[in-house]
Amino acid sequence: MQRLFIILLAFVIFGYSVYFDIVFASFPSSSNYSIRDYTFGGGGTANSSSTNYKINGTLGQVEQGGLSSTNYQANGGIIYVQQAYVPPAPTFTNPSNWYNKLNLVLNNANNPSDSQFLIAISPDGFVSTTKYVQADNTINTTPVWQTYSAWGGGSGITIIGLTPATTYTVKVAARQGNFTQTGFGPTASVATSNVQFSFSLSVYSVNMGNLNPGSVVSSPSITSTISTNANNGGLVWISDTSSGLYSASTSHTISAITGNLSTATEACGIQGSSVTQTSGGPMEIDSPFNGSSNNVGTLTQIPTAIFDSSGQPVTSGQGTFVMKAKASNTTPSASDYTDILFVIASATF
Amino acid sequence: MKKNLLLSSKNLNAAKVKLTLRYLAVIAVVIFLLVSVNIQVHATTQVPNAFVRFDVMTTGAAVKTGLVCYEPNGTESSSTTLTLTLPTTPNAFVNGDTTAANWTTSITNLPSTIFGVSTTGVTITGAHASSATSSTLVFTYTGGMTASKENCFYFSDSGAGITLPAAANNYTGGSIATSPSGSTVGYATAVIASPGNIAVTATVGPQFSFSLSGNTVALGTINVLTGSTNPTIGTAITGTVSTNAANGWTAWIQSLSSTAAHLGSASSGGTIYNGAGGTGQAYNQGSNFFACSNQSASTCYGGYATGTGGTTVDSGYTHSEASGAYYAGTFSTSLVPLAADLAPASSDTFLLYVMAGALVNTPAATDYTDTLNVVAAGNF
Repeated sequence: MQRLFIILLAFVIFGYSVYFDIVFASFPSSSNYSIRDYTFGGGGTANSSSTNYKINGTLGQVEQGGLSSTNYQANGGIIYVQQAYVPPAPTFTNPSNWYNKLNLVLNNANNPSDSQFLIAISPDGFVSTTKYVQADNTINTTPVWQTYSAWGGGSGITIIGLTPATTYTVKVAARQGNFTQTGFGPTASVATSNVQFSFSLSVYSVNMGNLNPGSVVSSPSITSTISTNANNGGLVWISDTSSGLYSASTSHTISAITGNLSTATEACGIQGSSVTQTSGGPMEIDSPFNGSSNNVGTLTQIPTAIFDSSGQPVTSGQGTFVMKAKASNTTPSASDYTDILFVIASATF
Repeated sequence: MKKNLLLSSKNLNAAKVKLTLRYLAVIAVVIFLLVSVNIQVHATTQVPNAFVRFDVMTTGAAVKTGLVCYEPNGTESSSTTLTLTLPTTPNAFVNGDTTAANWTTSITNLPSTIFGVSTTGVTITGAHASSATSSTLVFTYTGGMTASKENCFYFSDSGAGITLPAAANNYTGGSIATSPSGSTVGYATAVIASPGNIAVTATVGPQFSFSLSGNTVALGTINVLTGSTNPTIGTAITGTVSTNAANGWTAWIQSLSSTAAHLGSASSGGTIYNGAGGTGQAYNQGSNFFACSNQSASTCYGGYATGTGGTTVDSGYTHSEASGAYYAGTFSTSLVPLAADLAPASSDTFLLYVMAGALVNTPAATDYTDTLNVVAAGNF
């Protein structure tokens, strides 16, 4: 029974280690343990402690000094040997014109999977500011240690809540239990982009020509273009001065409606006709401007969203629309029917 | 001996069971410890977002109205102040009205959603800014910001507003920040070249249409006005007028008879005028109707009309029958008003009735005829 127990226990531990990929040192080592260094010294203490501190000390070991080059350092003594492997510089990138977040992938430097890592980050190269990446990927002043897996493993994490147009520098330390913390490894730097937004219109005037009674007439097309890296994309809004086409000479308004001009006696409105983008988005036409045939959306003096980029950053997101109008045989004759359209845009950062 | 041996065997089995259970417990603990080392807790955090919409985006223009929306990072129950900082780069947006009370706020008619996120109104203290500088507007509120919603309000200035830079460009350096215990969100916007708006023009040309439902009125055998016989009235001819003339339309009528309007028979030489004498009564607008009854001593020939929509019939053609007498409006040999509408019309109509009555001595013939000319025009 005792033999069976030992065999079973060994099997469990071995199976766990294979699954979670514990690395065993090659020599000297046993199935479950590796000894990185061994010597015979004059004594020491493995883990003396008080309320707030612990000490791990040895006698007869090298206590200071080391060898170093530009990129490498080697210290002496068993204290140094029992430390975790110093993590190399992480992969730190801005993959998509981000303004308030950056990607980071740790290099675990062959540390065991139960090793933990601390990510320090600074907007000034650690000259005066040092913060730490938190478990929720924001940054704060509290050091947070997590395993490589918790820090996203090979996929890494996206650090959020950063400041636009700022170069951030990161460095990583590792540990595997008490008295094993390394110093910080080499740094990596990358900059967040600045917030970006651009907007333009294709034309500033359109002439609908003659409105024949009973016929629906469309204006020439009007196109708005937006580009933004805003996380929540952009919006294009429309409003007007007269809620329709107004003739000052006759004091008559062909009123804007939301509805079908085919069945209306006299009315006008706006219809989104197409959307496109170079990347991102996609752009979409918002109700009530997304009708077909002669269905239009009304105009008021309160801006109403006509296009949006589906809540995503977009490059050269275009939205095209027309004004449609229908006169009746009693619509007063005049050559000065006019409406002023205000097309504006915004982005949600 | 056998009994003792049996007892010993039982004790030995019990001991083995206990030992096995202990071993299994140890294994279970080991497994638990190994697994628990690798249990991680991952938290997710929402980044705040915000936008400001300037309702004018034209170079050099003054912006006096706009919309601000802010969605906090999770629960933000203790913030009390929102600071809108205007863009600065490459040129500054300059607030020309530093009187905070002029910057009023409203939550009426907010969009219901922004990118599918429901909105909620932010009631600003005093319904106006608490402070205003050349580069910032500060608004205070109570109750914090609502999580998972776009917290929005409109702003409006009664003063000079914010002056936009003179150059069309993209502008950064602005921010929306809540405090205390809030967040700061930077934003960018754009200024476009003047006029920055779109003028839509259109023309509506003059419109007029007029039609008659027929061009023949067959009176048949004209009644002789004796006893209880009343004049003959023909089937109505309908005139239809549509026009967008601002002052409506007018229709006129005339008889093309060579002398006073009458029905004439070439074969018999007989004539039927509207009234007494050789030519009947003369046309007199407003009073040219002639009583045409079964007691008349004269023939009658004329007409009357009715109208629909906004049609008004000329007073000389409004009478048809009253107290047993029929009144025929006299046709003129000149165009005289028949009906009108003083406003644009869509399918106004008038019904024209021709009336005639003979006497016993009116020569018999089948060819009594007259031609009426009916015209109309829009009053532009």
